Amino acid sequence: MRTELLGAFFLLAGIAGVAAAPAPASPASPPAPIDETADRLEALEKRYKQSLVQVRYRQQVSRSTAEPPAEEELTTTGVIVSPTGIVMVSAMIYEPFNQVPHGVGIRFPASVSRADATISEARILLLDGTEYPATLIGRDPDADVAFFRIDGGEREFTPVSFGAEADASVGEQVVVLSLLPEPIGPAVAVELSRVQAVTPLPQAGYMVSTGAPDPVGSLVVSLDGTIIGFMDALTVPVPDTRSRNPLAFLSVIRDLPKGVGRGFARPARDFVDASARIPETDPVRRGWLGVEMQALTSDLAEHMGLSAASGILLGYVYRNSPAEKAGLQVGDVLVELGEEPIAVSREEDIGAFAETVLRAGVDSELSLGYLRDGARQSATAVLEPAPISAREAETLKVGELDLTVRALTYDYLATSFLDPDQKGVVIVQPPVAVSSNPNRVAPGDLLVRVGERAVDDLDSLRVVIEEIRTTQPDEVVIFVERGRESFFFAVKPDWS
Amino acid sequence: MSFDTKKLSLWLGSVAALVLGVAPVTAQTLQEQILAARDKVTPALVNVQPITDVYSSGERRSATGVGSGFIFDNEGHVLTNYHVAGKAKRLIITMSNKQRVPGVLVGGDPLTDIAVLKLELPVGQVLPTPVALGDSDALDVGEYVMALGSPLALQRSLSFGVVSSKDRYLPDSFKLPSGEKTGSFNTWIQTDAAINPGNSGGPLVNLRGEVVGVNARGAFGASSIGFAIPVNIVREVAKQLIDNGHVPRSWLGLTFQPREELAQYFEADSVPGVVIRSVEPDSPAERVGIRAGDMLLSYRGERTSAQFTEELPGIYKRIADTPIGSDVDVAIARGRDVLELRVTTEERGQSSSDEMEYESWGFTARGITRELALEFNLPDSTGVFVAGVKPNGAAFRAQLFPGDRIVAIDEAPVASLDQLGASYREYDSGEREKVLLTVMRRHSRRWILIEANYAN
Repeated sequence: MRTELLGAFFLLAGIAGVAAAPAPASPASPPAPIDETADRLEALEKRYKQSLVQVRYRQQVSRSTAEPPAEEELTTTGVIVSPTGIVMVSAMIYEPFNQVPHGVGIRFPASVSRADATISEARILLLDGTEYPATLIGRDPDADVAFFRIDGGEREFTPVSFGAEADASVGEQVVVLSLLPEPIGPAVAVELSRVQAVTPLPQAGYMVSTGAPDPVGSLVVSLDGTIIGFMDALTVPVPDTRSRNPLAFLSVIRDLPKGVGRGFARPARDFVDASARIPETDPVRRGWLGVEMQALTSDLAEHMGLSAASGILLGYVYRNSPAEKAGLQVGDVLVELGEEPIAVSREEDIGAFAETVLRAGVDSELSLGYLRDGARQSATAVLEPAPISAREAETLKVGELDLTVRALTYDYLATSFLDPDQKGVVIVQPPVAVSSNPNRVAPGDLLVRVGERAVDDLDSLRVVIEEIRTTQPDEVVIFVERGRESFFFAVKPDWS
Repeated sequence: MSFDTKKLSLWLGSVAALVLGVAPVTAQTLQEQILAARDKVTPALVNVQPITDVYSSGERRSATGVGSGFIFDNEGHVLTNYHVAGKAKRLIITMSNKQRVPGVLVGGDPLTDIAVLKLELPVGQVLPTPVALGDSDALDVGEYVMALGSPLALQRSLSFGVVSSKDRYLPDSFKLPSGEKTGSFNTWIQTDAAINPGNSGGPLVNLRGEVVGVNARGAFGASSIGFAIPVNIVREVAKQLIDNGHVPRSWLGLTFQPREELAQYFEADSVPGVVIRSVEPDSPAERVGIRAGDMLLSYRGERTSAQFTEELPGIYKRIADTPIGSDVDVAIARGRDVLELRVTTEERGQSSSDEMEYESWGFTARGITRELALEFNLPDSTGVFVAGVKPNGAAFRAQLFPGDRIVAIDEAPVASLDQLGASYREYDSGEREKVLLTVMRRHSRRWILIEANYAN
């Protein structure tokens, strides 16, 4: 099934896909007469209005790179996933830069998103009219969702459940359950729709037509009430991947009419046991091999004189990763996973392999066959939790120095050609008023010293800052490294 | 930048009116002085039209521009800016009598933005009287100067003003339009004599008719702010270019910043020096243990001190001017300790690199110099940089990207632009239609299979 779906790329599927669609895989009964459908929809509305909630929160939002961020109240739709009141929302809340007014959400590369993801004063509105304060408790970056906890005392809530088997085919009739915004709502809107396309990996999911003004956070369910997907975002074609200009993306936001009439739903299987996977302290970590990959096309294989016709070229092996521990090196060609050949001969096939690794989970052993210098070798990699990436790294804002930094992460080290034992913290937002600064300190610079004190990590910076707070110097000299260059700059702290 | 003749003449008019009204005797003298100075310089003025290769979107094209220059010796050498003619394949030079003569490039120096050309006068033709080079150190702020040249190709134009500043420092990250760093070794003369595109390479002249600077740039979004390279620097560089074709410079791998507000931190109030902000890996300075945060107190027995940025070029220049391979004594302050060290200078090497087109593969590439590797934070300078990829060409279809670093061709290492060029010619005349480039894209390796785009 999966391999057939791979070909049905959503841009091409559309109407032709509808005509050619096979019968729905799971429904218990044939399509129902219209009256019966109405009854079903009503039942679905009754069922899911207990679990769909509106989340309101305050956040710093940058509408453009030219304007300073301003705090705004934003809303999104969430679903209750545990009786204790855990609410799942799209992780897009971390990227408010990706949102446009009235909630049409569009995903952009993290590098384009510059917003401060600090969320405050969250409140959750249930459709029975009750309202509770809530706390953002974490994020599952792989499933791309975030979780709030309702501070609702002893109340027992009605959660939804996601099944691993739920699936839908192109053309299948589904129901979109979204929230209508104020002033009409919040109220559940029920909409009969069809799956327009099943998108291939790595962004596996369903394109579903919808008239919902804000489909992000909506549920897509089958007529029998099984949840098929959770609407993660609206995706739009990215103009030109070769364009290095982030403003090119911005123009898309600006030009986009509200409600493009189509939502993207991640499949229910991505959210199985969502409540169990809720990060207690850290985000959920799935299996990580620690490599960067390129598809071995048949042309490349032939030109390189390799015995395999498909596979994965390793372009980078992260330091101290499971792949490195298993002895894999840059230039090795993975050709077998378990007993199966790795059928990756196009770049777009890599997602399927990556997904397999993700799902294998921490501590599972992958036995890999690979080619090195033409010779067949094998290795066993024990998957580890993925390390925190720059995008998810903890940040620290030092108000007195007008400075925001984040922890060093494995991906920053790799792209900066630094050793794993490198110390320091990464500047996210440099102070505005600095002096003695020939290079203009910039985001991405590595802060390694404050005054006389070396800064190894966020904790050691906290200690240094505490000391500074007691001595309150007129001036603090900071030493940063940028690649193989370095410089000092001075900040006049604001002690008021 | 727009060129506003009306504004210029109004301004000149008001200067004249002011001077005439307030001090008629001086005005008379000033006018005479201007005309006399003009007459001394004008015959030696030339208009320089370079024909250069420009590379854009993965292709090489010919381009031309316009700049100014002036004859400064009896051999027919012409001074101009590197950014005007430093990369010229061919030169069309127009003398002040409107006669066109051929010329050749003798040498160019991007770091000071100076190039020297040589006129190839037809037999029997007399060289105009060269300009006299003055002393830029003797200039005063407020002193009258005039700029001559071809702003916007308007030949033999003269503008007039004063020296606004004589030690303006433009940061050493300043770049020429070709992307090369410039200005590390000199401060600039700032003037309000109008300097517009095309003035580049022309002389800045004092009232005695001596050249005190080479006009090099204006300021975008501003008027009455132009910059000239002091002639005392120009004189040295020109001599090196004529003698060697390039300017040999020493290098230690140090970059500095002024003490300014850092003085307190470095407890430097009583110990004047210059703060070492960066020590390049694998440099002479690193090998003797100099570290970022040290302070350089003296170099070859002479004090080195920089409280403000404009004092930095002098220190950089002093190091650069040391004969290559010299053993040099330096004094370093580290905290309260003073270290006496001996360090051996090395040749600085080229800062920029050439670009080359690989037409049937559909991209252009540049060599990677030590400085480029530093700037782009590469671990080393092996390989060549992909500078441009021709849309819909062979490399484009194979998803080669600008910024990729080619490290191997059909699995044989590529160390330099010349080596890639040799391979290219071999492939281009051979039978094979596919070539495998191994590239580094940031930290990650990629394999790019290019199917050459042969027309026949």
